[in-house]
Amino acid sequence: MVSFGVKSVSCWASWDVQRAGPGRSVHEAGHQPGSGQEVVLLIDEGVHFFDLRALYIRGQVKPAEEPREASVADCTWVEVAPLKTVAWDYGMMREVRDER
Amino acid sequence: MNVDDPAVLDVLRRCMVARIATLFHNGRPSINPLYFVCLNGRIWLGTSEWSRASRNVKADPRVSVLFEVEQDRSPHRVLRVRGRASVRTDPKGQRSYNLRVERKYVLTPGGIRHYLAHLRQLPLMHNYHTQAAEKGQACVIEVTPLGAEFLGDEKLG
Repeated sequence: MVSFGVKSVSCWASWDVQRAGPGRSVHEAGHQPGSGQEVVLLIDEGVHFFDLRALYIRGQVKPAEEPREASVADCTWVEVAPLKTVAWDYGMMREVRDER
Repeated sequence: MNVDDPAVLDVLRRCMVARIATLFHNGRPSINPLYFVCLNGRIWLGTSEWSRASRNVKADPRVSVLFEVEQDRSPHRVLRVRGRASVRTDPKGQRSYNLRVERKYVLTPGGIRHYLAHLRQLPLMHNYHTQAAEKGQACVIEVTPLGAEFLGDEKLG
């Protein structure tokens, strides 16, 4: 899912490790964020508590070519240059000693 | 499209996790996955008062909520609801939400299997919720739908 302004759409996401910096390309269906616009990309899965995990990426949109591994035709792709990345995985929770 | 359209109600009934898009006070976007239930034509999403979603809703009530039925391969599987939201902290509303969430996510064959499989980790979940409660009380984001549309995602999935 990608959110820009109060709009949100579902999308394909592709992690491109060949770029100099981390980049992600998204196809979004029907609506498209503008170049330079700040967006949030959320990739999440799971329904029950210990299965819940997600990747939350805030970044800026840049035009992008279709990634090599893309198998979806007739899509518009944009690159999200990450500014902030947060991930969580409730199934990986462990007890830690509070050192305060 | 109206939110009482049968196709909309069908997705709301089958979807398990909602993704709510909100705005910071300065217009920056945010999106969060949350549990939800539907009640009297409203959508209730559970979170905490300190969460980004509830703080954003207090600053700007405009939201959109995405619902996706992942197992579905029909064109009607990704639904976007546009609406206005408010944050409810009243105990009666919270109790009502909690009861419905337990019925939807815990007291089901899948829910019971999941928690039985993670019995040893349940204290961790309890501690997690206790620590979250120390940061701020639980609340419900109540969304009043203003419109709904299915996204043209026939290429997705």
